[in-house]
Amino acid sequence: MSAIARLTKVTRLYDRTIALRDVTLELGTGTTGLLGPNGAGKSTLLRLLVGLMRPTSGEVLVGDRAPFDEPAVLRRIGYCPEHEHAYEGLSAVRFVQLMTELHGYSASDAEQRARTRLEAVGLADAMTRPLGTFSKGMRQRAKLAQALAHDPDLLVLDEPLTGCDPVSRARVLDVLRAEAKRGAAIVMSSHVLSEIEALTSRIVVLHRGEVLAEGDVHGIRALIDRHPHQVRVVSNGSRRLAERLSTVDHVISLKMPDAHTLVVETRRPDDLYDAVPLLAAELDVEIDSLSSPDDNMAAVFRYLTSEQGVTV
Amino acid sequence: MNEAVIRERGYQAYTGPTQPSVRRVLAFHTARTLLARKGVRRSITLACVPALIVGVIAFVAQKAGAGDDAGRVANLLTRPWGTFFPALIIALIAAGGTLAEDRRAGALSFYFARPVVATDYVLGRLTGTAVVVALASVGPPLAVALLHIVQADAQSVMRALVSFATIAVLGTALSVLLAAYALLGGALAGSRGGAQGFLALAVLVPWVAAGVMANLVDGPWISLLSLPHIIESIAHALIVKQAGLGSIFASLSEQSEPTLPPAWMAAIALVVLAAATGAALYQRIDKLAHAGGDA
Repeated sequence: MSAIARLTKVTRLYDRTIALRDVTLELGTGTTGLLGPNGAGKSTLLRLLVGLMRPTSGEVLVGDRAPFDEPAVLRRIGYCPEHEHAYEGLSAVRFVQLMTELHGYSASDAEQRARTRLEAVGLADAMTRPLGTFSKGMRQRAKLAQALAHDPDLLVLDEPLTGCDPVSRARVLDVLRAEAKRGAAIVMSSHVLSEIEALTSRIVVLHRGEVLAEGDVHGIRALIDRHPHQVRVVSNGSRRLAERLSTVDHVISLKMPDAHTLVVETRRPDDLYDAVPLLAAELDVEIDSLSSPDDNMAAVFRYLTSEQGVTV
Repeated sequence: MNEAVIRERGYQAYTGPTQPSVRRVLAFHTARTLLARKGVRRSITLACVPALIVGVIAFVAQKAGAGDDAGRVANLLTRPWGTFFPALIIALIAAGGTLAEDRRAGALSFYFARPVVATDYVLGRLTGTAVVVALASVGPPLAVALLHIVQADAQSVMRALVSFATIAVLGTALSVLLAAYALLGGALAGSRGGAQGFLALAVLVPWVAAGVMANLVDGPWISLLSLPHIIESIAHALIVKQAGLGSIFASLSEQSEPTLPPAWMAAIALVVLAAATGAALYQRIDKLAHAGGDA
């Protein structure tokens, strides 16, 4: 992974509130998910990346230059802010066209790009309507279109799926995958883990202004092995399996939410995955499914933040 | 898990357009947005009425051999019956709808996350607003001044040309300052009402106060706070007295009009107002630009 953006010991204060504290981070090409609860510092980090503010201390570099007040860098960036406000009276196509013209495109080129991008995000039929008549999800897509229209190298998206219905969510995710294929680096924040999960496994977890963890979700999982992993076993012999598993040393707890499901907490999931089929064969139990509800970002995020009293 | 296929390409130098005409784009957008408002179009139409009347009077007077009245044309710019009032209405609409609208719509984060710096934003917005204000403020008086030039004989053509140039310059200055006040109101207040209140306080109140107080207090000093009085004083010296720029310096020792400040003082006041407003506007926009886009 080559870095397209670097933050080195970045701290950002709002008066006396610390939004980011001593953050050092490398963001590479491809897609990076920025996770954290509200107030974690995600939006501040993204604003620093797009030059909307300067760090109180430390250094932010995009490519090899600081983005703050640096048009040469900002030309390469597409930014979708979190807020849902918009020019109420302006049509979507005019809005995206205006934003694209500011990147140096002629009015006709910008309009063509605006139309293409609005079609891509599923607003073909609504692009001439005023933004004031748009639903929250439609505004989000219009905002995404303006971030994409000039083919940026770095896409910075602050909660881009907020308010989107399932259909438009799928559409937006398709567009973002296409951007990633094109070669754009994407940094996308969310506090809804499934949104990030649908796009990438590379995550940075922020909490109270600090990077709690970064890397692949599985790598992060390994970092927190002090936390138990859950494995869900659905079978026709849950009680018999539970009796045998209760004697295994790495098993911490056993739960039976229903007659066919057994949820096992273990510190050594790999050993458990090996042991369960053997036990099932020995006890003549038929396994319907063996899955790890833990092995997703939601669980990782919950584990990482729960120690510090955050409710996810 | 659905994972995007990433093509590793690392850092690449930017190869897109390198000369974005940001100011032009912003100015055009500003003017277009303002002209789309009914109130603005009606104000421009309203501004044509006094100019038409003055134009007809001037035309008839010239035909009747009564000579021209360049002073009346200059007064079109600044008097309540002239184009100043419609221009002020446009400025009020702009105050509520330009920068204040950008702040309300969260548009600053869209602009300043792009290759747009505070100077670009200020100049683009200011130019667009000033052009539309000028359509009402200086456009109709210039048309009348042009009529003077067309009708002028060899002896009076120079006087008509000076009148035209003076109206063009002072009218432009007036329009730019009104636009700057409007933007500053939006930059300071952030809400439509606040921005318009600021403009009213900065322009309308001194204008009315100067008109009332000049007859009550000894001397015209109060009118130094009033933009129309400042413009009128300079225009009076340049057009009515017809002494060219020298008239401004001559006013150092002359008795001024009872309700107007001396032209030299008016000229200084105009420069100070323009510089102070420009500096305050830039400072404020620069601060907003770097406040994270949520100011």
